Amino acid sequence: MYYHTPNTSRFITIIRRFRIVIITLFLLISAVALCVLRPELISSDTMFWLSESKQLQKTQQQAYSKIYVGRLSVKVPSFDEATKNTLQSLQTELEHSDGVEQVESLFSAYMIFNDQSSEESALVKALPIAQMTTPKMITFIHTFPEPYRRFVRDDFRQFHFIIHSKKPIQIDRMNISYPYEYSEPMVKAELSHYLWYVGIILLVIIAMSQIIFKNFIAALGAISVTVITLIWTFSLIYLLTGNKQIHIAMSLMVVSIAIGHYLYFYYRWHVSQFKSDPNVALEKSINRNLLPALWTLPVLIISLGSLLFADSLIVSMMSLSLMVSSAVAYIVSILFLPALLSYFTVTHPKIGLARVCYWFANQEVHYNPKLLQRFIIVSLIILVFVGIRLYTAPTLFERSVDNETMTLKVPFKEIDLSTLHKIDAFEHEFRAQNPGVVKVDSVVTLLKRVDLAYNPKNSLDEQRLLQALFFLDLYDLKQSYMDKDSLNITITLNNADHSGIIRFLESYKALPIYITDVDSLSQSSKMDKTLLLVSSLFSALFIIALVMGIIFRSSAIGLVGFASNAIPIIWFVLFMILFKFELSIEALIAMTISVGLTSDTIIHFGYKYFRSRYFGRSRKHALEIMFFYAGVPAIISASVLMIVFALLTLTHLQSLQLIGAYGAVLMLISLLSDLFILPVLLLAVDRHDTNKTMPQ
Amino acid sequence: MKCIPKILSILLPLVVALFCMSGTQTDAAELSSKNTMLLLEGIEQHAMIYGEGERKVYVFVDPKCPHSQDFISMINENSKMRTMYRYYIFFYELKRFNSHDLIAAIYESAAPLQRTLEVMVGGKEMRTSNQIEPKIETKIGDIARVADEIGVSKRPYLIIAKKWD
Repeated sequence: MYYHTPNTSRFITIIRRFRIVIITLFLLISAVALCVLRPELISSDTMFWLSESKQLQKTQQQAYSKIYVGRLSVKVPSFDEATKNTLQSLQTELEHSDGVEQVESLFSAYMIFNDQSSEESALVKALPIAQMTTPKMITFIHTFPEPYRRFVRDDFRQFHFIIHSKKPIQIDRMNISYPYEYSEPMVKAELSHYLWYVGIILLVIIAMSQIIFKNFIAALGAISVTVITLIWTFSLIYLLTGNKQIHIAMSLMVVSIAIGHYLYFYYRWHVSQFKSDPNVALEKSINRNLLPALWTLPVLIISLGSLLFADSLIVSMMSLSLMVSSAVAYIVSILFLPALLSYFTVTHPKIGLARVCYWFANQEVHYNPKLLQRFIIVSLIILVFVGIRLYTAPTLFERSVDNETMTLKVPFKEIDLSTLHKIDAFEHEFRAQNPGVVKVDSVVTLLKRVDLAYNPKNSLDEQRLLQALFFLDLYDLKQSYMDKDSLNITITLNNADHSGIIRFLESYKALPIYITDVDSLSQSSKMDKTLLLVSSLFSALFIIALVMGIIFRSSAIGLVGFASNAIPIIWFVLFMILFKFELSIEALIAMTISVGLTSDTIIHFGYKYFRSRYFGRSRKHALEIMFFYAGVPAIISASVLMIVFALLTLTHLQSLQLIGAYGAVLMLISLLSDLFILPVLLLAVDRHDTNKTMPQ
Repeated sequence: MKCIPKILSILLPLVVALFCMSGTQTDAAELSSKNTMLLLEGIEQHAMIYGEGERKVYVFVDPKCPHSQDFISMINENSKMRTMYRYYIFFYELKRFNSHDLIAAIYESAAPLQRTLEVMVGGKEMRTSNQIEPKIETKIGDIARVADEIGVSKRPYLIIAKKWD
């Protein structure tokens, strides 16, 4: 129970005696694990999602391969013959790149026309647009902009190349003479990506150490605990699952847990040296944190354990990262950290944030119960509103995309009028039900263009279809539109709901449709798992409440645990609805990280508060102790993580940007809730009699 | 204002093309696809066969028509297309080119397809004569009769067999 103070004197003596052995052992195991593990770093989660995509399985059953669709945008100062030749060379270079299947651009487009100067010719011709002179090209495209709008901007200063490839291409190794931007779902992380993140985390930790603790010991401890936790966690996960792939979101979870654990231990050691010697400070660091830090383990393991059995590699890997890192960080904090800290003494044990703690305690001890009631009622109303909104208007799950290219395959035996009508009907219904569809490009589009050049008056009949197909063969235009047994459909989206479109395609019955582009396949997989994560998250909240009730042997504290965890999430979801953000898998991952950290904070707050109350401290004094010993590390760790998460928004990967942005906002809301709501809830459920004598 | 001639230079041929094409297949549609094929199969013996492909393409050309020459050049250059398609080439005169004698001269030659390529692709001049053999006249007449029945009004005029024969 929270009032027991474990006797750790002998433990500390052993740690001090064998400190060099302990430190060497930890470093040695970490070095060996790092050498043996050789992790595969992943900055995009695409690979994870693809591995469990049911759509991909369906597509692969048809022997269709997945397609990476990248969009290269090249800016040119002006468009003249020289620029045209350079861009045409780029087109050729792209087409000959390893794995590239097709490059759509102005330089692969054709003008299809009937070159007749008299009434007696029926020869349809296809002229590559790039063969025109630049003034003719400009005039032609200004006259017939529709088919070419996705390849060139109106002012001819920006050209787009849509690259379809069987594997991600290395665009930075190409010779591109002009400034460019490239977007493509990435799979493997460059080492530089990771070095950038590591650099940011190190910088923030060193800054925190210097500004708050005014020494380098805090940074040394934080970095060593974090690095060891990272290596051990991923080694254990590898031993348990055989999976070497480490996604950056998993690393972030481990860093968050490690820093959270570390700060409680280090902070207690640091401030205890104000009155005690370093040895006593070390003992206090251990015996005051041993139990609450241990309690976070069953809370996390029981609440997130069910996710391990989810039929999803990424979901189980992320929950495993949280659970294993929590256990590892605990072991490192009680063995390695005291061994390391025993070599040092703090010269400035005072912490400037102490005054803030007293301010909080003073303000909150006189809380207005009616105000708290109203706040809880408002939060409940929001919860009901969010629930109804999610049930009635699934638009919260929308994923808005711009300039997105989707690729589909439709199996066929013969291109006849029936196939054409089916594709036509599909296009018509697809456009009608999905706003934001800019273009649906298929062999039908091309056949219609050929037929239009041939005879625009009547609708296409069988013979004209055969003639149009003949001209496609003659000019070799078919290859990008059809394979031996499948038709390729390319869809261009702008300001469209990607999730809604995938749902439409998955439920469309009139035509067998197979999604082939990697982005849509992984999005489809994410959509399958969203409901699982939402339900797991809510069940985790209930389980956390149950476990906390058992730990503190009070159903009221169980309710506090539920409310403190749920309030930030409820307000965060409201914030997302109000500002029209999508409830994506990234938001749910951020919520899961937040639940892990908030549970940790609640346990430490509850432990400090009720322990102080048990030992006869007044409500105000107990609050001061709670804020001083648990509030400050919570503020520091939340601030450090907020900065780290916020900096993720500067990356080029949308998935990481979202996790970063949502994580930072959620951490801020959680911190505010921990500082303003949680203490008041603890006061509200406090039934201790202050006049009772303090037990010895 | 400067770009108006450019726009016109592109638009004009297109508009003319679309306008002129409007009558092409409407006439052909008058005959059922099956009847058309029967008619064409009836004159297959008069065709110059080019290519080994499985799919039949019946082509009506005039040796003096530049578009027909373009088309024959294209299929001559495209060996891949000749492995996919088998062209049944028929000469059907466009009156304004006055090519009846040339057509007869090619048909009378020992290797009509070779001559056709020499004339239409290589631009070779060919000596013609007013005295045409009756069997050649019959051949030209048979082709013209079928072409009229089908409604062939342009050159080159393509009819593609639906099934792989």
